[in-house]
Amino acid sequence: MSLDVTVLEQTDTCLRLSLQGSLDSDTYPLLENRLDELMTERIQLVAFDLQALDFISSAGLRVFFATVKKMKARGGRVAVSHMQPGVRKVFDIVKALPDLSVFASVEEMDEYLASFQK
Amino acid sequence: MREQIQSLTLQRTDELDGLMHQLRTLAARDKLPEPLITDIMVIADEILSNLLKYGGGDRLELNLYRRPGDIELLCIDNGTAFNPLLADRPDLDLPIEKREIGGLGLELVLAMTDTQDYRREANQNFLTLTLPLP
Repeated sequence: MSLDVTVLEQTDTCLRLSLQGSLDSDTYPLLENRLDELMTERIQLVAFDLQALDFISSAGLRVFFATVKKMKARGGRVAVSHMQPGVRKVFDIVKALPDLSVFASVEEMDEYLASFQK
Repeated sequence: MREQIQSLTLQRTDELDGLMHQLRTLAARDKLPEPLITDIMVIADEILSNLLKYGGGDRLELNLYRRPGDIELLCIDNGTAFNPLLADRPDLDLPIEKREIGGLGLELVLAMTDTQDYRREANQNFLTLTLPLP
């Protein structure tokens, strides 16, 4: 299936990405590579807009888990917003949501990001 | 009473796309409930990627049957003998940074299915799963 990764915003400390399509065993290397290249040392928040993510499998979850581990190790956070029900179900089953900052909408995340950047 | 509604073979992860199209077609023809498509895709992705990465096989056959109360998914692969139901399970109550990143796929398969049965026969792995009809 196919995955598109779009950089919505990148500042010194904050990286915001939108994922579109399917994050699965075929497409996860694309996200992994983009994160490797974009998650510079000073990034403290990685925020994923998942509004257009239709599907995620365990291969996709592993990328999120690795990102959470990396960010927590440097005192940073990982945020997700606007999960579709099928995607949310997958995160729910493996009890990943307590370790993520979850936002219901793009607006809610915007507010959070604005407060973060002050 | 069970009615076979699909049988197909996957050999590469980029063929999952084709599976998705076929499942959507089945759902459109009322052969398969729409909400189960994602669950079946998650399961297929998991079994296929495991087989190709660790299982030493290169062919996964998926058979879907519709029964009165559920959907049966029979997965047959040509990998080495492996019963995924006996694999170590991660502790999901630990925070992510304290967990090993592995075993997530099996957790998804177990959560999405009502029953699971494994058998080894004729040098192939047979995994029979049932998904509840909504």
